[in-house]
Amino acid sequence: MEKMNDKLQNTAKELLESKEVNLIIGFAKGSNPLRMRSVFITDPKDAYKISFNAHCVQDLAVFLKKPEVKKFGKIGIVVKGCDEKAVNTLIQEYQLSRDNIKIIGVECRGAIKQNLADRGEDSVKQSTVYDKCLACEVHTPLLYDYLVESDEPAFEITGDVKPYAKIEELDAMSVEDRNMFWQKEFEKCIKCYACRQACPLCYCTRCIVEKNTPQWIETNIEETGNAQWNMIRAYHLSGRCIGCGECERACPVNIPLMLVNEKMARDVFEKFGYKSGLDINAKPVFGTFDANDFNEFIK
Amino acid sequence: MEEKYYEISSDNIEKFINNLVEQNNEVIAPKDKDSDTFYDKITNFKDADLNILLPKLSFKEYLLPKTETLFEYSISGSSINILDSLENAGAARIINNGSGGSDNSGKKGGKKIIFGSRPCDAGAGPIMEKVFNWDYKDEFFNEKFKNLYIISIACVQPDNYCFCTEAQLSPESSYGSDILLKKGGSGYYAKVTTEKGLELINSSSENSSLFKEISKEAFPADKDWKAAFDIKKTQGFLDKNFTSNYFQEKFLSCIGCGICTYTCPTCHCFDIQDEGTNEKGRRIRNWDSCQFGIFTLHTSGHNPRVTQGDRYRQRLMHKFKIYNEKFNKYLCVGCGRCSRNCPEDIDLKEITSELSLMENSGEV
Repeated sequence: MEKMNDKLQNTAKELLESKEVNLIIGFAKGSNPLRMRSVFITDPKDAYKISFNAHCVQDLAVFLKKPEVKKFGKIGIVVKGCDEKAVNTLIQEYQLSRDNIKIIGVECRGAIKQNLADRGEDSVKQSTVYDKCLACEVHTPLLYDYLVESDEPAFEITGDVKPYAKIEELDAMSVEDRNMFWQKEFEKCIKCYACRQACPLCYCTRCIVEKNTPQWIETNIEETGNAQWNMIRAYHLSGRCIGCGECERACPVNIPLMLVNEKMARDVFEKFGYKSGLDINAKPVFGTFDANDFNEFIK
Repeated sequence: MEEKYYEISSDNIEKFINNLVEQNNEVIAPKDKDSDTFYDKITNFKDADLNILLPKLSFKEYLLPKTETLFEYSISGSSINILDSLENAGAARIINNGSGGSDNSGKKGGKKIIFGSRPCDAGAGPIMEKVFNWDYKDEFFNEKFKNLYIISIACVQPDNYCFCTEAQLSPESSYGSDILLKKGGSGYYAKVTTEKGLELINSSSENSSLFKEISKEAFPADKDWKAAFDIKKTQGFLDKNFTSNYFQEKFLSCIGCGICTYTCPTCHCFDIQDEGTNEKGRRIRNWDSCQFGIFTLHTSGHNPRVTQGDRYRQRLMHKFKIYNEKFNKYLCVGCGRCSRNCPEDIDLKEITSELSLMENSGEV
C-alpha cells in the first residue's frame, strides 16, 4: 500500500499540477522533531514538504477564515476527522463554498497532547492523546474528496474511559461551587483572545468585544470582563463548536475551555438531538425553529 | 555603584528568602500551577520551582498590569469627584497571574521582590523603562519599577528557542537584575550591581550575615556564549526590505492570536478605555497587541496593516529596527516565549536567524 506521506504528497502535487486548486494547506515539520506546523503550498515542486503524524495538533480549517488565504480561491486542505467537521460547519453556515474546497481527509489515530510532546512524549497512548481522541467517532473523516489511510495501528483503550470526566464532577456541584470553580479559572484569563483566533468557527470580521456602541463586553482584564468574555465565547459556539479543542490548546494560561464547549455540546444534543459538524446540509440548530423544540426554559 | 560579589550557601539562600517574606515583602517566584509554571506569590522558599527554565508567562504584569486603573470618577448632584489612582500604583492592585484575582494583600510599605527570574526576564525591565520615559514620564510604570526588586538566577542550559545571547544579553547577564545568582561553591555566588540589591542584603543584620563578601576574581567568570547569528544583520534586512514578500508568505500561518505579544516580557502596548456610568466609573489601560486587526483600524474604516503579514512584520520592525534606532538596544531579550507558546509554531529565533542569513546572501 502507498505510504501515508507519499499519498498525501502525490495528491497535493496532482491537485496543484492540474490547477484544480491554487493552494494546498497541509502539515510540515515544525521547530523541533515533536512539533508540526502548517505549510502553504502553491508550487507542485514543494509538495514533498507535506507530511502527517501524531503531532499534527493544529486544526488547519482555521485558515479558511483568513482573508489572505481566501483570496487563493480554490483551496485543498489536509484535515483530520475532527477538523473536517469545522469545514462542514463553514460550508453549512455559508462561509465556504463546497466547490472551492478539496478535502484531503487523513485517517488519524489520535493526536499527542502538545504540552506532553514538548516534554519529549512521542507515543500515541490512551494517556498521551487529547480527550477528544478518546471519544473520537471520526478517525476517518465524514466528508472528503481524497482519503489518505493511516500507516499506524489504532491505540488501545482499556478500562472505563470517560473523556472530559470533570464535567460530571462539575454537574454534581452546587451552583455556588460551580460558579466558584469557573470564577477561579476565568480569573487567569489575560484576554489575548487566542481562544477566538484559534477557533475555525470564530469568523466574525468584527467580534462582539470589539464593538463599543454599546460596549457589550467590559474591556477590563479582571473578574467581570474576563467572565463576560468567556461566557459570550461559549454561547456563540454552542450548537456550533465541533470540539477540535484548539481554543484550549492555544490558551496560554491553561483555562479548561473544552469543559465549557463539551458541556454545551452535550446539552444541545440532549435538548435538541443535534450534533454539530456532521452534515453540510443540516440546518444550524440555533438558526431554525421547531415547534417541538424544548421550551421549558421559557417561563 | 561599584559591583559587589558574595558567596552564599543553599541553606542561607533559603533563609534569606524566608526572611524577606517575613519582613513584610511580597515575594514572587516561579511556582507550579496547572502542570505548568507561572510567576506567583510565595510564602515560603519551598514554594518556588527553581528547576525549570522559564515560567510560561513573564513577570511583566508586575510592571504593567493587565488592567490598570488610572483614575476613578464619581458624580453626585453638581459635585464631581476624581480620584487619582497613582498613589496606589506601587503597592496595591496587583493581579496574581494564575492564582487569581485582584490581590490587595500587597503589604503596605513592603517591597515587591521577584526571586528566581532568569537574566532574560530581568533584562526586560530597563528595556521597557526607556519607552515609558523617553518623552512623557509614565509615573504608573515608574512607581512600580522603582518598587520591584529582582533577584535572578543565571541559566546553565538554554533551550532551542532561547536566543538571549543573540539579543545582546546572555544566560549569565546581570543587566536588569539587582542581585544575580550563579550556582556554584556551597550554593550560589552573588553579583550585586545596584543599591536596591544591597538594600535587600542589608535589610537586617541576619540577612547581611548570610552573605560572605568575596573578590571580583573569586566570582566565576561567564562562559564564552557564542551567538548563532548576527542580529545586526537581521536589522539590516529589516532596514531595506519593508515590502519583501517574505512577510506575507511566512505569516500566512499566523492566526493573529496575540499570544506572542501577551507572553512577551518586553511588549508593552496598551489600550486606554473608560468604563462606567453617568454616576461613576474609571479610566483604565489594558494590555493590547499589534497582532490584532483592530489595533490600527482607523475610524474612517481604513487599516494601514491589512494582512497578518503586515502585522507580524510590525512586530519584527519594532523589536529589531525601530526600538534599536531610538535606544540602541533591541526590544527583545531572546527568552523564546513567543515561539514556545505559539499555537501555530512560529519560531522567532528561526525567523530572526533566517533574516540575518538573507541579509548576508543579499536575497530578498
